[in-house]
Amino acid sequence: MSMRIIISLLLSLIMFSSCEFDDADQIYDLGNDFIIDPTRVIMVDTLTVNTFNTRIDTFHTSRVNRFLLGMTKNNYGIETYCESYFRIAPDPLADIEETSRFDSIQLILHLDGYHTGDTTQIGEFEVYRLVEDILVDPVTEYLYNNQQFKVEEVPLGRFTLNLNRVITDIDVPTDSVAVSIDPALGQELFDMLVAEKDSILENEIFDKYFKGICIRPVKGKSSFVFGINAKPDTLSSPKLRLYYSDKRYLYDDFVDFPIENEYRNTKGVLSTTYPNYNAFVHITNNYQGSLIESLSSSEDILSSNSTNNVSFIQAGMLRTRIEIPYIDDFYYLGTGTIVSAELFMEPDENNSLEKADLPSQLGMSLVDHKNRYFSPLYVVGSTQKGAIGVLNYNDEFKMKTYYSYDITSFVKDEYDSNAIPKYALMLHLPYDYKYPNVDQLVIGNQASDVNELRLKVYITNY
Amino acid sequence: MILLLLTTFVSMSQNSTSSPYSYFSLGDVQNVAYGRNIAIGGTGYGVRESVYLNLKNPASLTAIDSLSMLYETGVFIKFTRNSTVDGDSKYLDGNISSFALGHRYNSRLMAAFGVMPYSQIGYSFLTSKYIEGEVSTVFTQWKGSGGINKMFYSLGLKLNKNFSLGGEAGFYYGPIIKSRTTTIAAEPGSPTTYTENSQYHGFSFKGSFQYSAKLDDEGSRLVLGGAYSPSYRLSGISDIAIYQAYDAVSVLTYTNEEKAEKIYLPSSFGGGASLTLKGKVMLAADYEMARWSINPNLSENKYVDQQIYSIGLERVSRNSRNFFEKCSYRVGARYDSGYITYKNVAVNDLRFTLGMGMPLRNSLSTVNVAFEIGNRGTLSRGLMDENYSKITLTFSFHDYWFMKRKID
Repeated sequence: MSMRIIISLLLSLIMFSSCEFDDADQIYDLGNDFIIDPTRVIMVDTLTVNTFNTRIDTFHTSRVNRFLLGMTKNNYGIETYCESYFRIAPDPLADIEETSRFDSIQLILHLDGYHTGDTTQIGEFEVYRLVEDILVDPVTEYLYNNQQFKVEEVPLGRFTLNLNRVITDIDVPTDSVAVSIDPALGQELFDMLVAEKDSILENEIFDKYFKGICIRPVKGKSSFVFGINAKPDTLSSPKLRLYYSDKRYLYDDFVDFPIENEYRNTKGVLSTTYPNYNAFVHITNNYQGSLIESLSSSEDILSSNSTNNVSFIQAGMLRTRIEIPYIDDFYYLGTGTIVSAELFMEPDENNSLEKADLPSQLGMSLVDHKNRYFSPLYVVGSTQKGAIGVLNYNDEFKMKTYYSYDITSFVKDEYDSNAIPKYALMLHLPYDYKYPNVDQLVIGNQASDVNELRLKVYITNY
Repeated sequence: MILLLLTTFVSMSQNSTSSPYSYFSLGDVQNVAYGRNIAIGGTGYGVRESVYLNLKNPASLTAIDSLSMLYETGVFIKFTRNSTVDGDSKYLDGNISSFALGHRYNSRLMAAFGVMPYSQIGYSFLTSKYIEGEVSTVFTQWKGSGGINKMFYSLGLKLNKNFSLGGEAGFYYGPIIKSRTTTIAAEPGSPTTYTENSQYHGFSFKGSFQYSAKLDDEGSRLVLGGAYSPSYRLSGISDIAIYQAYDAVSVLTYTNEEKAEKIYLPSSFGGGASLTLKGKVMLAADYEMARWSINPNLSENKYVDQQIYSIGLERVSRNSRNFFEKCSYRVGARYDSGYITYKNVAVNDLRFTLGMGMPLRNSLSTVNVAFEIGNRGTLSRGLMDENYSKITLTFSFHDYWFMKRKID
């Protein structure tokens, strides 16, 4: 054999063999007894999870597409009260002949289907004329849930509502209410339309003359809260409708004063950017005599152990604070990593929602010791917002309906940091969930016999 | 030459084996043989040959009397079929097997140096168990690579016509990279990976002798040889890292630099003899014992003393015009009792070898082909049965070749 052949053979073999042929990615199962795996994988679901009731005093309720009306009391004694405020504007195209005659005036409201509370009772409501201007907060340009504006002593009209069968004065579709309004106001508006047409059709002159409308439940005559479509500039927008007839030309007609669409903002600029800039819902809870009576401010917390082992969540008003104080106890198991942490909670039977109406997601965020918002809960290692409580709805087996949350990042951060826990979790209804509403969710705590609250953590230890 | 040396260094870090048994300790210890010795069952203590480097016994280096330089290198391809009760998997590995260079100081002192893999690690397998606190499965995927290389310098000293002494100093170095990825069946998106990258190093020394007696004038000869190597410790640093995956994101949750788990190279001794009959046939046999039990027991498995028996037969090459007559033919067998017991079963290894040495024209250089077929382990007690076959090509070049190139 020639040397050259040998040399090239040798070199090519070295090159060839330097490439890896091994199929190291082929995996085969050697069962659990080939070698002892020193990795301990532990599931812990007995860690203490404390829940607390917290309240929010103010939140903005203007620029919304729904008005709320009514009053309802839950099984735990919390009373929720809603009234709505809005302004109306004249139709600039209104043109009434001098030969016409005023007939009647109605407030037309379209229900949007939202309701909560005891709808087997008939509710009674009153419509008032405002004597005070609706003024937004000059800084935030919002109106808040706890604000109220003065109204006339005598209502312009009243109506009853049977949500099982909507009662109307005249024959209009059953998802709307037509409230008869004091004809004196109707006559006044009619006369102005005829006599002072040019000035009354100016928004600002009209606003000075008619400051707005407030609709509120009659005290003690309402056991439910319902929603009214508040979107301006639609067929189902709230409106005052003035009926008139003309004897000479023999016709009936009406003119509308719909909910205000164009407004002047705090800088004095005319705008239509935000719908219902000057309209809002007044929502208050009366905690007197309820389980959470002692909660006095938004910084307060009240353990669910002293509130029948339940805590409350209500849009804008009530949130549940969750503390997991003993995460560092995992170190007794050795050093390891948190693989996942999932929080399960069951809504109480006594909550205001039918199971099918439970929001499909609940929001969760990090708050400080004074219940102030700190940050959303991120997915570990990412800026993607993480914790979304997903409703697991299962009527088939044991009626298990529960929310489950991935709170891995929170548990991991607490586990990794040596400091005393600085933040807690705050559970709330999602901000975009059918807002505004007064839905309540009642969540059981770990001491509850009926409702499970459980944190399931997987840890690996090396 | 330097290029070859570099290639050797680089490629030795590659996977050269695929066996879950290589998980333990240093992995698959490649203490069989190199070059020509592979084909004669790995025997070598009592083997004495003028045209090959017999690295098993440095005292045999003195047999190389007429040459001033001898270079050996080899490559191998290994096919493995691993069987468990659940099924089989097949692997193909390949790498450079060794590199060695022998040279001569004077007529009494001969030296050799080189690099060879001492142990090889390569595995990827799965185990499963239950979570503590829940009836739910955890899968652990084990992966390993790397291995310990040995750089050595050997000296053979001829005391007289019959008796030689040998010594070898070795430096061991290399990475052992192990990882295990634990996946909870209920949380498949969040595996935890523990990686341990250890760099080991250590020294060793081996002393040996060889006694050769001429039996007649027709080429019959008896050679006796033996070697002893005390125990040495390999130490090193391990970089530990734990990665926790959360869906698509992997987070480094823990790092540490620790002293690597100590591993003791066993003290070992061995002896062997070879008998050459009329210059035509050589019969060799070796016994070797390595005291692995010096290592502390692993939690699950036990180190045991390793015993190796090997025998080999060679039809010596002849002076002839016929190429096939000039070739030498070899056959051998080797039994290795193993150094770790799994579930109290020693994983032993039995192999048969077959080989051929082909001389290169007009030189003393040879190309040696060795074929090994063997079996390791057992299917019983849930263990794994490993069947392998391996072809090794070794090139033994000698100075004559180098001289010729100079003339070119």
